[in-house]
Amino acid sequence: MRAFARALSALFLWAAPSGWRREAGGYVRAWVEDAIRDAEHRGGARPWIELTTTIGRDGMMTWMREWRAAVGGLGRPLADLRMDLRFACRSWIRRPGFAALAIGTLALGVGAVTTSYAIVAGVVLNPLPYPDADRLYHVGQSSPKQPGRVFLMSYPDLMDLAAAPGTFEAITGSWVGRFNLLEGPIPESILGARVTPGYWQTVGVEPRLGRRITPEEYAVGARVVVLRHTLWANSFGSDPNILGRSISLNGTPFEVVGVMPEGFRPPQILRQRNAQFWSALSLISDEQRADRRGGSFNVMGRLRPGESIETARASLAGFGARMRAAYPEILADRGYSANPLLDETIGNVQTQLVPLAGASILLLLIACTNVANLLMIRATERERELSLRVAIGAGQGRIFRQLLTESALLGAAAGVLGAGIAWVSLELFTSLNPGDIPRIDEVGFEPGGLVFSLAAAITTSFVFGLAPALLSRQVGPAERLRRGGVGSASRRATRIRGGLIALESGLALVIVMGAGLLVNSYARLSSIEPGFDVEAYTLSLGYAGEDDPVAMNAYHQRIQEELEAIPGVEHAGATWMIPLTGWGWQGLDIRGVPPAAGDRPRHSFRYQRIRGDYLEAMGIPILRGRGFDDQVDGYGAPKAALVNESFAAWISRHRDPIGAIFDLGEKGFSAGEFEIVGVIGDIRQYDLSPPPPSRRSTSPRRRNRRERSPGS
Amino acid sequence: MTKYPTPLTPAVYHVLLALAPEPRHGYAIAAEISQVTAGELTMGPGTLYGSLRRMEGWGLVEPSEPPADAATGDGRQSQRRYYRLTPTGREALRLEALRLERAVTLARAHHVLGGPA
Repeated sequence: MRAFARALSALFLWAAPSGWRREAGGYVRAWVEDAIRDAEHRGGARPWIELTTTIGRDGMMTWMREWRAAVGGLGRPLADLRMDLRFACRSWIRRPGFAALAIGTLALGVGAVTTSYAIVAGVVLNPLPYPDADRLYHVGQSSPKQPGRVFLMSYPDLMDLAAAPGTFEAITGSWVGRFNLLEGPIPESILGARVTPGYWQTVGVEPRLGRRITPEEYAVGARVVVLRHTLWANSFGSDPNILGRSISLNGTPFEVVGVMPEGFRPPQILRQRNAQFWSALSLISDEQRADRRGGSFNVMGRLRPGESIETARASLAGFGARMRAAYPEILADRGYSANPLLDETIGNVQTQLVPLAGASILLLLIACTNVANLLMIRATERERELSLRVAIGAGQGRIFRQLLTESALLGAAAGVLGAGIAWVSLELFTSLNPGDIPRIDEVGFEPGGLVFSLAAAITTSFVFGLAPALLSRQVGPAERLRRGGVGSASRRATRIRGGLIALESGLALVIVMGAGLLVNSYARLSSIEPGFDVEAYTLSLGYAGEDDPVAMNAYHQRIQEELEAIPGVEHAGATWMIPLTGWGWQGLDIRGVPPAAGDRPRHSFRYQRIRGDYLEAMGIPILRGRGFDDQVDGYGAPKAALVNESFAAWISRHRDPIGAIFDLGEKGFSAGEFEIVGVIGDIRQYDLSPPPPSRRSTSPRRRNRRERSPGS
Repeated sequence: MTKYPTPLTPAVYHVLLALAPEPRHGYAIAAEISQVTAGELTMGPGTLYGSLRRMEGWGLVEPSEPPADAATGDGRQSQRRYYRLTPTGREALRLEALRLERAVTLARAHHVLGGPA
């Protein structure tokens, strides 16, 4: 209250003529301070209400009096303005239908432009929410076959790059997986990131509590973890003593060393959008750490200040040359490159959003044309009224001002309503997130769009609101009165209206065509066969039992049986990644199929682990061979695999896919030989866009009952 | 110096009245007026300052040193401006009070205030 009273009086002082402000400022401030002390002394709300109303009323009166005294006669225009406003309100209220139509139309246009501007600004125009975000780049392997694209990197490459002095100030690599967090009675399945120690310097955001993971901890593979603010708040009740506490991730204790600030948005390019914590990437398996052939890690770098993308790419090319020289057999055709993080994050969504913004501007134009037309009709109607007012002595300027006030009122009402529409539609848009737009959580109300659309709306109402006065200027009042509504002015108004209608038809045609294209692309998107039954329900479970394959298998079996026992459940199955979320990657060779050419010793494929009636539950068809059978493929049985249609077609060029054997080597829990026993339909596992035309799009699916729980 | 307009406006009358016992500063005048009129007449800083400025022009009030026992507050003492009545002001207040008294007497004589005739 105290601050409000001070602010209010400061506002009035600021708005007052400077002479008066100099003269009385100290006096007024002293008065207000005394009054505040008095109100505090008296206590309760009443003195404050009295004080603020006194300051408000006194401020208004003083403001008007002093300005009138300062410029002489400004009181008169103010009084006129008040009269104009009253008259304008009355004139709109007299025609409520007309006013509602005009205001509603303009408000829709203003709302549409404000909304789409906010979305385009939030997604495309605004920098990413990191300090000096323009220095952030997505770094990775490049391939001459797909120029301009940046791919994942292997761990040894990442370590060499991070150690090599270059144009990058900091480099970080990341891997995201699913972890079981045991905090309370029910285990929680959460996503967690493993990162290199350069992570915090790269993103430029420090933990709010505690510290980052140090290079020393990283080197020894210390089990320390930095929590995301949401995890800290939701699972640990924002415990201020969280630092040093031990938490259980996949049954292993980790020490909490830091908490990231609220609102920190992990880079989407590192697939960390939903990551809940960060631990050391050095905790990955020895095999992964040694594998220079594979590529499993997303890498991001921060350029040194003043460096450009060209110097960065040149230094990466130099790094590539050194690496090829050092490992000629493994890295024969491999290069390294970088792309701006913003471009990589938003991808091609720009091409979808910009037409949306264009369409909304067209909509605003149509709204403006409509309102212009309405105002012209009104102008023709009002010709007689205005003529009468001129005849009884109203000056041209006075009439102009009256019409201006009416237009301003129209524009202001439309602006307020339009801002409301924009606010509601933005809330809807961001909560629904149609089309899975990146950075949607960064979209917020942008005053820029409102200012632009408001300017358009007010200009329209000004220009066409003044039409009556402009149209009848040359004709004398007597002449005008005599002619009434059928004079030359009216004929001109009709011509203008005709032009407006033609313009509007043109704009409408453009927007209809644009809408047709939008609907077409939407129809294409929604007619995409995802390959599975979108009516299936999924739930995510954590596991907190012993780290033992037999126990885990029993646990999953029990859950499956309990789910199947629920009335109405037709099929129950499990997977480690449900469709549209992601894949695992695996290199393999199939007997009877020539090995991969070039540097790669093995073909690289996406894979998925499933159990139970997963295929039936998801409605994925078995096209050839058989599906998994608990009796035949149960725990301990020979390993069976299913492949999808595209992969089967590729194998068919060399041999019959059914019965083909592939070997996954000797290490790891998915080691051993697998036999392909069936072919299933293609599904969209990563997103709804068609798979890229590379061999990697093919995807064997297999199941191995001996595997451990996902993410372990 | 222009002659002050008579009869005095309620605002001018009450400011003079508030200053009659002792010099006061801005908010003290406003608080006194609000109190004696039971909140009927409240004066904000701008209005009061305008009135005081005009009254100074008419020679009714003049700036004054703070009284010796004035509360020093919290260092804002220097910004407060104290005013006191000039002899003209005191005379104007007396004349206005007399005028009002005559007016009240007249009203009583015409039984407009009720009570015994």
